[in-house]
Amino acid sequence: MTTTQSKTRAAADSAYALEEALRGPSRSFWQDAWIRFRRDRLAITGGLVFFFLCAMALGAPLISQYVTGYDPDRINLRENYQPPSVTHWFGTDEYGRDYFTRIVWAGRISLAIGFMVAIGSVVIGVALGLISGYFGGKIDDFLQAIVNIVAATPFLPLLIIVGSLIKLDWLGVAFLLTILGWTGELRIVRGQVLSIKQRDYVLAAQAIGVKDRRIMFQHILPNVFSIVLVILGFDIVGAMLTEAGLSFLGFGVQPPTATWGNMLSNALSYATRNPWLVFFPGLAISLAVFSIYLLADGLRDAMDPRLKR
Amino acid sequence: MTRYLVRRLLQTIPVLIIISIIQFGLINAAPGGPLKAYILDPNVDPEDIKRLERDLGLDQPLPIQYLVWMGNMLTGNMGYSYFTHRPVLEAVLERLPATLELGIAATLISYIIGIPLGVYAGLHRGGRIDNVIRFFLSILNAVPHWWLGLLAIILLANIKLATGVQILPIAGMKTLGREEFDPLDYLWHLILPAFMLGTTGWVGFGRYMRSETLEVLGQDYVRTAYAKGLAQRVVVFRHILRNALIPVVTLSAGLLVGLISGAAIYEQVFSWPGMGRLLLDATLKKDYPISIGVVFVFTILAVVGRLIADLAYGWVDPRIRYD
Repeated sequence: MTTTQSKTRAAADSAYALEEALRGPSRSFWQDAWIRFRRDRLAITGGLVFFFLCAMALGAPLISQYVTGYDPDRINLRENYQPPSVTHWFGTDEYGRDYFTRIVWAGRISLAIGFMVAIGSVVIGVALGLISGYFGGKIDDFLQAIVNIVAATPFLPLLIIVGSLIKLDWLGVAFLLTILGWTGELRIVRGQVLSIKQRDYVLAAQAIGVKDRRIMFQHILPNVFSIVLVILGFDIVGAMLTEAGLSFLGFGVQPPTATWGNMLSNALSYATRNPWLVFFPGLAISLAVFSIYLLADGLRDAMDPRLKR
Repeated sequence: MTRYLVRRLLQTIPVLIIISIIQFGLINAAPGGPLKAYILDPNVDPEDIKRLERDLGLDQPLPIQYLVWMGNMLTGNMGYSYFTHRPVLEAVLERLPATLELGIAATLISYIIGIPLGVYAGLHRGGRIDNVIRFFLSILNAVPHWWLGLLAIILLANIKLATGVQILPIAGMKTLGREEFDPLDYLWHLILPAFMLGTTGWVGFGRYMRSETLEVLGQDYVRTAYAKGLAQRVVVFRHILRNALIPVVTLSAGLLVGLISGAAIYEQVFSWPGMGRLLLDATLKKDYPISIGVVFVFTILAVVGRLIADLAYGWVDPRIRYD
């Protein structure tokens, strides 16, 4: 190293040190986002509520044992159709099962379907979206054709027929919803990739001969990551609502496995006299959906302040 | 324009083909196959079934069967119900008006409520009414709307039980047993289902129109319009509304597909005798030709709806060229 070079380096170092002393250490993208997110009280509330719902679902056996003291499937015909009270917070159903306990257990399935479909869709959608946007050409045309086909399919009616041919368990429902769910991700990720791949740093990487795979995963993927995180939230919502609708119609997850959707379907027969049987499962769905929306909106604003309206 | 139309129509062909293959696969996956009705019937001789299979080409390889089936579907011969032996097309088209009536009414309600609500909130950004509208719209956005429908039905049924007053009918298209056509009776039965089905639309349009209005308000031409002293009403209708409305046209296509997809749920909730109910009833009875027929008509409706929305988009926004 020549002396001029080391002098320049020293000067740059000291300039950087001075700047750091004046402004504090520079913050990473995630630190910045976290600072903005922390200020967003609605998003924090949404996050806490969603975390609470997930914790209840995960801890359902503990709640059965220590909090309510009821088994979700224990039939007790002497206590059926009880309105909400201190002993039965959400009342009891036609078999005298404690409704709160059942809703907590049903949340395990409903949320698990939401998470599985969302993660599955994101993995497939992001991978294919990266390929579609980065390479373009024939692969892109082919994937776009598939996306158009799935987008034009009225898929609830199709799921109804499939659900009547095969008795679906919750994994089956999650699988089908994933197959029909990833096209939204592909479209959004592809759009992002199309704009990112025009940037200079991608061109620079290509110019010095970096492999395509490395460019996609190291230079492009981190830049679409924030938007993927937001879509993940909306995917959980979409999957939960579709599952609820399908199970409500009787073609989704079958009893005795309880989900918020099939609890509604079952409650319908007794609804006029026992409105809480319809009210609470729907409330659980709405609460989950609303908290995810707040969280996802907050994440979007925190990670990309330009999008804020 | 014609070239664009032709290209779009050509693009919809592969979509229809793939969906029809899936549907054909589903019929053949159905237990008992297409001749189930006859196999179950003890009065039908097994020899006759063999002969029918030959006559109908069911002994042919599947790809050939598919081509024959597709040809039949396109010429309107969608097969016969396993149970009533009626032609599928007839049974499905009989239910089409009810579904369209509900869908169109719901769309109109989406516009009538959603657009003014969103524009008003956008024009009064940050005010108390804006905050109230925004709060309710974001809560309603998270609620499954068919569940709201269920709650409304329970509420009305309980009011009926308690006071004997039927505020709104909660099931069906018309008063049972009334044979003559009575438009008021139909309208009366339409209000609750259409409002509830329309909730998806007006909540979405309301939220969208609010942010779209804010966007347009920031444009130079709106400032110019205010600066040259135009009345608020003129600015709102001529400059803001007309531009903010453009994306609503595209959203309408999504709404239509959503309404079709959700028809089964709403028609179940409100006992509405449309195609969605037909699909549910047929599928429960495992009357698959009818189920497939409904999905086929749904698919065509969705594809045509999206095409119309794309064309309308160019019509409302002359900056868009089709070539």
